[in-house]
Amino acid sequence: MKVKQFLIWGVLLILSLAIVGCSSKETSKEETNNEGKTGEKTAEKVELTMYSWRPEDRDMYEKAIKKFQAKHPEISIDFQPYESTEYNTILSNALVSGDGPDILQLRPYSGAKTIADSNYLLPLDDLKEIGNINQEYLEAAKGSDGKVYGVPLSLNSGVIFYNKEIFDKQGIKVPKTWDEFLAVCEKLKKNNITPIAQSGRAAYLLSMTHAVIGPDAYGHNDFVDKVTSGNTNLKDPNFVETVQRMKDLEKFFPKDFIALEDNDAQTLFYTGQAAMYINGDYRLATIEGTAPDMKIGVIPGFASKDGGEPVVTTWVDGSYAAAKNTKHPEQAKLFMEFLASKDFGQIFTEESNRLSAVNGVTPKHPIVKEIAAAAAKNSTPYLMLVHFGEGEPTTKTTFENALQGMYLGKLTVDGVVDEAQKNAERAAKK
Amino acid sequence: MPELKTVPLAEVSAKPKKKPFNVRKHLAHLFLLPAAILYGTFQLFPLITAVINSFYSWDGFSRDTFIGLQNFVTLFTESPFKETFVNAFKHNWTFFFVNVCTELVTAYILALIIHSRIRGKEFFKTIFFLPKLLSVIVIGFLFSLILNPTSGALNLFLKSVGLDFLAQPWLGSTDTALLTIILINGWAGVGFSMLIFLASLQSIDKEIFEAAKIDGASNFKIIFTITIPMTMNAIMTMTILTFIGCFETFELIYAMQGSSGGPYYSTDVLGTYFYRLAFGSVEGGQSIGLGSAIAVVLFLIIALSTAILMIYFKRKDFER
Amino acid sequence: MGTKWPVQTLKYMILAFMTIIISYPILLMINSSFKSKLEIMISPFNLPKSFSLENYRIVWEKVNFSGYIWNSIIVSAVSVFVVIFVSSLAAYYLSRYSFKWNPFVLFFFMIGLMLPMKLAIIPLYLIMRNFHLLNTHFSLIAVYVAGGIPFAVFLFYGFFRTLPKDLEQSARLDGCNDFQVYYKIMLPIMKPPIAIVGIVNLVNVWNDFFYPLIFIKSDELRTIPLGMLTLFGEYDTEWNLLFAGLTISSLPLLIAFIFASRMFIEGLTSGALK
Repeated sequence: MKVKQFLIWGVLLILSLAIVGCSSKETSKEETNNEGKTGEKTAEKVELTMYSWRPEDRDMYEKAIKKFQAKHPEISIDFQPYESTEYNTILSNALVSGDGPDILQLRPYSGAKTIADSNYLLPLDDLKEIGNINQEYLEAAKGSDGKVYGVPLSLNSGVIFYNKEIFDKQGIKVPKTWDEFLAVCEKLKKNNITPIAQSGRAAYLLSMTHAVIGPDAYGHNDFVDKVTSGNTNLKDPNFVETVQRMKDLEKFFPKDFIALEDNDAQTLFYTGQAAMYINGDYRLATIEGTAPDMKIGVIPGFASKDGGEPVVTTWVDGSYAAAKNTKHPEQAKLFMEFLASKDFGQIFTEESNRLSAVNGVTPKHPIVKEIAAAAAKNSTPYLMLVHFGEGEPTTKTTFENALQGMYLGKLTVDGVVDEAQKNAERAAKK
Repeated sequence: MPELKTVPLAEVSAKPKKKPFNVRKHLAHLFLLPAAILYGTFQLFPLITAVINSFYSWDGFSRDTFIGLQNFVTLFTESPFKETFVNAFKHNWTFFFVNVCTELVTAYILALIIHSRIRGKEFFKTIFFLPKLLSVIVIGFLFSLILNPTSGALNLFLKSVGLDFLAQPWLGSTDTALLTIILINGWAGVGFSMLIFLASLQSIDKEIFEAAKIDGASNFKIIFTITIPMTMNAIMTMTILTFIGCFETFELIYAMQGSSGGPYYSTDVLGTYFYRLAFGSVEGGQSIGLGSAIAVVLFLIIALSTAILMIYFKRKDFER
Repeated sequence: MGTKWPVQTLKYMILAFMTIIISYPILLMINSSFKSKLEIMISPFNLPKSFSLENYRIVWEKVNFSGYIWNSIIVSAVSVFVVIFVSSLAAYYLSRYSFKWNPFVLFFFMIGLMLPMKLAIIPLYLIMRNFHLLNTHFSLIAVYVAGGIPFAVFLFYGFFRTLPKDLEQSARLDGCNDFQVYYKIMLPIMKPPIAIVGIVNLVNVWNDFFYPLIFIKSDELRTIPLGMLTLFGEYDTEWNLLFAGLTISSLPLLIAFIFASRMFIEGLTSGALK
């Protein structure tokens, strides 16, 4: 009996000592290991971990990785997707501790900049295939030092999906300008169809809609240039006009839309209760997956005047970067090259029905093709995301939450603009 | 070896050494050791580090320079931080008060009922406790469905019984969202609180009630003059636990309304505000320094208020 | 005796009303898990047309639930056991020995009751990394144990203080050493507070998704709540599958509780938290 108790005590004591003792020893060993390995270059098998915030793309990546391994059988890639909402938390922790993945997906623009500026990434300016990607797209993955840190994955567009059957039945022509769009909405409403399946519980969907219906009111890229060069600000009457438009659209949204989730909005659209649905073009795959029989069309954007060309709101979605403290920088760069290659671009566009950021990749899906063609002619950046993604909180977040406030009667149109502008000024100061 | 431990206390102290080192007594420290080490390493130490972090400025993810109380000054004087703070702080208080008035009061009433002469005690106790076993992910998902303005069970029910005017966009209106979340929180916790109250009720000597009844006191009078004062300890414990819970509340709101505490910050609490600052939104907007500062403020609020509550209850206890 | 029937009726009405409110969401979840997606949308309140386990089969195939459940069981069981063991020892120490520093030690533990652990996630992550515990079940167990200690010590301490000292004195006279006193005399009468600490910790650990999300990377180490998040990520519109997944993940605790409820409730109501 007594021996047994003593054993228990002994084990406990040793355990507690072990926890304290071992750990410090192992840390130092690990550090020296790290340094030694960086220079090594062998054909031995390596495994790279890759973080992403798109669990739904798993199949696509698995196909792509197979293709990559055909050339580089010694490199295996462990694709680890996380929920988009938790991704930042997980990535921050992993990076701060130096325990991050070898390859990581960067949020575009200011998201990428923050991480690049904290010195966690390998510069990719000298990457072989980087020339395949439009200079303009690379802006989404640059640090403050102007170096490229990521390989952009896709070019997203904000579009208006519409139900072709409803449009045909109501004898509606696809609207080309804002005024025509309003007329269409009026008509649908009169016939008891919710014109736009908007949801507002997730505030970012409000700024998405704003990005799609706003640009022609503030004058597209001219305004973007002026705002970024400091010649005007968000209080510009043209910008206020865009917020006014959001307000005017309220009556065309579903009842209580602030309480609706994106899922609910999609359901309204699938079931024909609503005629249009505004979101990124990446929702195409979701819609076709859920309602394969539905006939949908796309309004890529509005033209400023009758007979003009539509202007598409575009932005670069995530890009992939190689972590600075990866143990296998050579191999990680090989994979980066693959991501920037046409091979990957083609797989990406075919599997996920989205626009690849790689030049010369042609989409097959007719709707994707249509958007691509329109975007190639005229495009304007997603203003809030591309140029107002800075500050704590970001101006984009402030803006979309303020829009929510406006629909709930807490803010006026000018109030929304005020909040956004104030935050932008504060962010600029830092 | 084992003999060391079996030496009786008397023998050790009987040895006429100058300063008898009581081996046996000090071996007892081993009792404390495992808990102290685990708790110290994995809880207290990180928390202290978090406090230290709040005195630094942060450049993205790396600790920059020591700036003293600057983060706290920013938090309380600069827009929009101070407004957001006040807003979230008020919501925490609302959370606490409403929770006490709904969950705890309901739990107490249920405990009184179940304590009285009633059939199926075990059944009700078990059923009422079940929600406590669910994860917030499950709770959030289920209630989002039930409270959906168009297809949700609650509004459909209200409409079917002719109470259309009561049908609300529960989680999508600044007027009702916070209240709804608090009630959901209460839904999950009422069973646990009830069992605690029940435990306290059962510990009261039955003869006291008998005596009161013989004196001709009404049921209501008995509840207010005997039952409640006699269960003051449990009421105090639950109030304090509720207070701590309400100020730490985060997960349910995060799961249901997102890290912004939407719509339009109407369900924002200090927990979600902290999360936003410490981890940013999808686009970024992270500030570990400010986030840590909120953490410290949150701790101070909880510690001070708990202390005050305890002293207050102790005094009451004493008066009784 | 004295109670009149209107009062009794009112009591039963209140209980029935609460039973409906409390069990409805749970029943909705279980009921919907047997329906097809279309059925959920068209007739959300009806019983399923046919009792089909199809949803469960699909979810079970797509998500590695058997692995997740096993992981959750290991992590929960070890955490709960260790919390009970180390906390009861510490509480025994605090209540039965009169060292000068005892009040401070008690305070040291009480701090943890008031601190929201989530606030320290970044430093905690660094510690886990330095100890090479990331991506291990041990990292989860360590946080859960550390997080569970304050409440457990608080509860056990209160319980030990209510016990008369004669109990152990006589045991000592019989030649028991300190650990034997704890082990043979104290533990057996501690069932009520152990039941409370056990269930409270079990519920917290089983349902927590925050720490596994951050500490665990390999799929084969994930616990159930993470599995659920994966489910939400990949099938966010397949409600039938979601319901089945949620039911699978909640059922183990619900069933365990229904079987153990008598013991647990006895533990709670036998006056440990007076």
